[in-house]
Amino acid sequence: MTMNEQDYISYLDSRRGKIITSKGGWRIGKGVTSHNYSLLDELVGEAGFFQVLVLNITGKLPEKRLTQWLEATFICLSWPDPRIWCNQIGSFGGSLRTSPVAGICAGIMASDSSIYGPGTVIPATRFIRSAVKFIEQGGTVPEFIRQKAVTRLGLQAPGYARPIAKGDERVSAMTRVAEKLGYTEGKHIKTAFQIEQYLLEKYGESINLAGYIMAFLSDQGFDEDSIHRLYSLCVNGGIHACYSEAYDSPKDSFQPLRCKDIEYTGIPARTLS
Amino acid sequence: MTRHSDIEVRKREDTFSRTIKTKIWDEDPCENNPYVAKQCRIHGYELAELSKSISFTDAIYLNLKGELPSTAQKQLLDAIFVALSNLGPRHPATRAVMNAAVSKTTPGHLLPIGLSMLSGQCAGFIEVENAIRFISKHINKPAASVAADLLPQLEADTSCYMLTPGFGQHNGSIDIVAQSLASVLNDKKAASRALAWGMAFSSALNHHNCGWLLTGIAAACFFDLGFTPKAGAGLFQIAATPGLLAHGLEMSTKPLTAMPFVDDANYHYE
Repeated sequence: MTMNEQDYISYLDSRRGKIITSKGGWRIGKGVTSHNYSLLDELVGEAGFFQVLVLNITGKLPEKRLTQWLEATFICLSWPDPRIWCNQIGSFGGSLRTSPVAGICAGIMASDSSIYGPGTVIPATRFIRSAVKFIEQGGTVPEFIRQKAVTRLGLQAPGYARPIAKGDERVSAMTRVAEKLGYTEGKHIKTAFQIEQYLLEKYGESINLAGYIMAFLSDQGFDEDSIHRLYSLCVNGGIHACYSEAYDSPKDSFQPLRCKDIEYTGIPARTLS
Repeated sequence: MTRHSDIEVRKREDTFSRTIKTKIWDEDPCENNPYVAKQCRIHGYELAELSKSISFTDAIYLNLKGELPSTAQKQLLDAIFVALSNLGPRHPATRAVMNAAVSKTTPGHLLPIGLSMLSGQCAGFIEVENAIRFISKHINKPAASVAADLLPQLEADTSCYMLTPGFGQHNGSIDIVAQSLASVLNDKKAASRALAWGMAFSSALNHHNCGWLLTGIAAACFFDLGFTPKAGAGLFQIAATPGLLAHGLEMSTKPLTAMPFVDDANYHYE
């Protein structure tokens, strides 16, 4: 049965006017903690920003080299090119002279997409994890792709292929970073590249950066929600650049459109009667 | 085996449109400046003529559906807009706006903050969208049998306040206001199959301390008015804006102390 009405009211009352947290917080006059670490005495000046970000999300302080790897992925996702959709929203914000917070947050929201950006985290993580499980249970990569990725709409393999281009130079860059930091390939990364090999031969498609990140972080023991939260702002560097340039440029000068640049395909002119 | 570094990056051969196409908006440029319009039309109707003659509700319907609503459709749309116009200051979206306002957030951000809160799976865009899809999927089945199929979830999950998008419990009980609003809306002339089905479904759930949620009412109304799930979910956000703005502006002129700040004694770190 559902919690009965009186129990539910008691439960709500037990939390009314209170904050109950496992994260930490500010003890006024005494200090700030995050998961039992003193933010100002133990973390500031000692830990990197990404270490503290991971700590805040997961409750675990990761090793420093992981945060170097994470920071490198954010750099890979920060292209100062206003043709990239989320970046262009930053440009429009600058063009309209919004505050940087509004323009950049709007771009971040735009990146919550099913074809790129943090919106791809959950499907890409599930895809590689289900592939690993499938293969551990005796399946093969071709069988997995046939069963899970070939649809009537064509190949639907989260973490593989990308808009605009085939191939993803960021994966090579991140592979170099991982090697430099001393990481070896775990089972998710190995499987991810096996899938890539098959998709290259069969469809000419390769792994994309999201697919690589999700496989790598799965090997590092992250769950899908933690990865999603960690990457929620991942495209911000490019948006910052595009917002800034548009803001610093003359008003209306970003991608101006003549009236006739909009092609009307609807009902001809009519009057109210 | 090919390593990723061997893979050449090359542009896909996609053909992108050279212009932006729309069937909603048309405009005639001025002779002396092609960037300035001298006349604009929404779905063929000239903007100034519309501004003289139609209401905001008509304009919303026209923009989304391409035609003006009938009198009955307009009445139902007006009625659901009024019902959703203020979600109340206890609603997390309103609280988010008030919290921002009292902490002197730049006022232009108040509505985007509130609307962002109304984008989610609970009491937001995704719930309304899913509720429209749920109604669409089940509308041809007897409401009581759909309820009977779903109710075992309540047995299995004690935290299952939302039985299905749009229907369930509000803070552990039936949402009484939602039930009465549904009756009012169901009496409107344009109320149709979705509202009627929702009434029967909610009635079957009432014995189990569940029923209509506001999101379900919105979904049923927007379904009956012929809106797509995404359009209906967006209309839910539009409808809630007056209350979000009003509560935000009310709080924006007050001091920081006008909203509670939980003291250390009630801040429990576990």
